[in-house]
Amino acid sequence: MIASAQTGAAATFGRRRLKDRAFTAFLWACGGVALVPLGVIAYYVVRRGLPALSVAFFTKTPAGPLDPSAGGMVQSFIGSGLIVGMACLISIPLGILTAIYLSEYGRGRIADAIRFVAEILLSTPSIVAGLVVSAVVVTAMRSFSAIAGSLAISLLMWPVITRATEEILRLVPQELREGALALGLPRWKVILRIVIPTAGAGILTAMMLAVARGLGETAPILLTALGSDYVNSSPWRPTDAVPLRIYDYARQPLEALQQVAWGGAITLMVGVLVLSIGARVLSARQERRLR
Amino acid sequence: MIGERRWKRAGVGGAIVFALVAAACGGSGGGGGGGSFSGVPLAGAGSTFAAPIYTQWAKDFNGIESGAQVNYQAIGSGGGVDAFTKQTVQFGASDAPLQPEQQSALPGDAIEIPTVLGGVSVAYNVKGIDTGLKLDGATIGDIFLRKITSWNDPAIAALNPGVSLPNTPIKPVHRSDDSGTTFVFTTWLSMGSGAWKSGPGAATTVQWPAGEAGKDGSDGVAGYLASTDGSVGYVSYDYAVANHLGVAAVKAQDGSFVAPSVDSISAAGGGLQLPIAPDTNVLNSTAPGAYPLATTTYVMIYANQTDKDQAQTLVDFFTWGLTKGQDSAAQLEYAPLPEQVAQAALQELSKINVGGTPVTASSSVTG
Repeated sequence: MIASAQTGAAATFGRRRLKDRAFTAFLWACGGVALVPLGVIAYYVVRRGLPALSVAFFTKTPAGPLDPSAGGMVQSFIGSGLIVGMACLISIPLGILTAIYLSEYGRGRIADAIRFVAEILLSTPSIVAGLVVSAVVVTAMRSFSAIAGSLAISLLMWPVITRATEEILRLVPQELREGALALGLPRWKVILRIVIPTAGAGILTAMMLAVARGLGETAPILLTALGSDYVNSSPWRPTDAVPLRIYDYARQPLEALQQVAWGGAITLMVGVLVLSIGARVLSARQERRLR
Repeated sequence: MIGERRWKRAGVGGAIVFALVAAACGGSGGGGGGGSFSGVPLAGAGSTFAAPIYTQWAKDFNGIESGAQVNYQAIGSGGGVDAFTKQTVQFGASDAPLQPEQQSALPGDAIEIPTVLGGVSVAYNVKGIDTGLKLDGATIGDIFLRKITSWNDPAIAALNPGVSLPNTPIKPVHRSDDSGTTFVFTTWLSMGSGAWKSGPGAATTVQWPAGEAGKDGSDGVAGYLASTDGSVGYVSYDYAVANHLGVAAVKAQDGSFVAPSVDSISAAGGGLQLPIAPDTNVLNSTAPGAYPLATTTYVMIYANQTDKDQAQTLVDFFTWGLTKGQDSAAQLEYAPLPEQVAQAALQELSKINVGGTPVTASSSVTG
């Protein structure tokens, strides 16, 4: 009796161990499969993009159809900087202030409404943001412009900053606030001197994620900033951007222009990667601090 | 450049702004001031077909009027008309004339001028047949309808007495994407082949008979043609030249067979009458020596302008394009406008005015 029960138990354990092993292997395989597309993208972009990088690529504007290989895309880099820079000026203060309101003061209907709006905007397709700004701002201004592009991008960056910053501010221990208030600090000083510095790195992370999002957007810029073959510094004029130029050149039959598009892809990928890794490093440090 | 001043006033420091302002100071000249007119920035958008020539004109023209940065973006003919209607660009560009409903949507009177010509070639790759095979609309229609399936078909032989045709099966290839080239080709087929008109008809994409190859983009079709024996397709003239494909001499209205060339495409523009009407096209032109499958492309400009410098730059740019700029047309495999058509287009351009005062071209472009 006992012996057979033991062998039965051993068999059960054996089966379970086998199942456990098989399932572990399966999950590892899934993880591996998930990594494959990332690897393929990185490999392909680097392989096609690296040969495109040259001094001319970073310093020259398009050379024209008679000699397409002699040009670069400096106007796209400056344009992206201008558009995303202005979008930051708009969306970062707005986003952080909204987040402070939501986490420190936000109770009741208004706060819920703001949260709801941010949530909706977060999941709004970017082309819709572009379409709205194009219909309202571009038509009213009678010109495609960098500022219109910035407004469209701001619509996408603001909710990212707001939601991420609010989460971070909520992580700041309630005890810190209570302690400061108990010492007689006014509420605004508590927020400015205690809450924000404590959450500092986390807020920076939120900004970086938002910038990474803004840098890679094509559709809203296509409808608002139009694109340009010239270096432009005026917020009121049509302006180029890196993803726009990639989209444009990738569809050209000329090998030389496709090459430039790959160059744009690798610089954009590296830029976004640096921002994302920076955000991860900062947020990891932040979590250690708050724990 | 109010924008830049505002920037500085806003006190946005840092290297980026410095670099931007420095670049802008180097780039933009501004109008008026100190003798000859130096132009102001312009934005234009539309036709993809015309993008290379306008981009090249912009480059060359920038050397004449240093402040004139003509920014042309190829967003497609439809997008160009839309942006022009909303006045978000200073000129629109389209491969088709404005239609009546498009004209009535415009906020003001606009002029339409042709700028360059192009051709669609019927290209083939058949071992044993040299370039210049003679074909007419009905035969080409039957080939693409799969009614004619072999290169030695009696219909082809009848058009080519004395040419020994191989028994190779015909492999037609078409554009699988939405394409202006397809529109031109099928419009022309509908004119010459009743069976085509009542069948697939004319559109940027049509219902092709089963079993035909479809390729994405002109390069896709050209690539198929270059590598497939017995193939026949349609590509814009420049692709046929670049890929050394055999091109058919197509039967013209007067019964002669005309092969595409810069001269024969240019001749097709001879029949263009200005002002441009909604049904204007240069297909099956009756002008002598004209290639039947020719196309043209247009720019649209508002006649009544408000900004003096912009109006001056527009007039200067297109005056230059219609005269000296025609030289670069052939280099980019377009065909220049016939002289009298270019003159008629210049005449249209003279309708541009600011508050009733006509804008005449600067001496820098006419001299």
